[in-house]
Amino acid sequence: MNAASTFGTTGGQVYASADAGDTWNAVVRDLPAVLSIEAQTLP
Amino acid sequence: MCLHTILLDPSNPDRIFVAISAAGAFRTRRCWQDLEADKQGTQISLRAPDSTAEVGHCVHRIAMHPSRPSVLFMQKHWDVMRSDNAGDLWHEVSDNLPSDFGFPIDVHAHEPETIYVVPIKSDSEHFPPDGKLRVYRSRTGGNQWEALTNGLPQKRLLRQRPARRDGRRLAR
Repeated sequence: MNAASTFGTTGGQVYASADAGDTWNAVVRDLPAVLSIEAQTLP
Repeated sequence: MCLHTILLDPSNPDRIFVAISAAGAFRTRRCWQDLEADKQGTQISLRAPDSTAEVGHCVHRIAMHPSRPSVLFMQKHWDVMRSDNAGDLWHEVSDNLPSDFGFPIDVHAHEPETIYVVPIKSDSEHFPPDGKLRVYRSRTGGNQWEALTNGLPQKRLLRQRPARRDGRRLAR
């Protein structure tokens, strides 16, 4: 089973991976510095 | 300094782990009444000011998979570490990382031996080694790390500070 992984950067990007980190996609860019992330699975 | 990590042991409601920058990792012995420093907790690091001290270690994050609450992973100021006995004893699992300085560490949601870190060059240079944003993954609970780069910026990650009118760079 795969699980989403996410992390944010102080450059303002949030990256997510749905394959345990093999590939990443920028979910959002140009935010202020991202200091923490909480991920939620929507039903 | 801040208390940045609180982990609840799903198998024991009386056991909680916390981690504090510049203080260390702690766990409850009996509910909240008796916080004890992990006595052999972080003594392996030779770069700590006093490697045998119970407290005073700069722990940046600890992580745990809920299926194995006695296995803890730690990103210290320097060193990536692991404990198999709920923090009684830690050993370093940094091995082939390009730098063992960093901030985050986490465990895969369904694979308790798969862990992730993001190495940073040093405590005085807060950017990834070689200017490449790389997540490192170990599927063996540490020591054997692989770089994950697909989709992450591998060039132009570092921007030069803007120049002033006189051509000098702005001090940060």
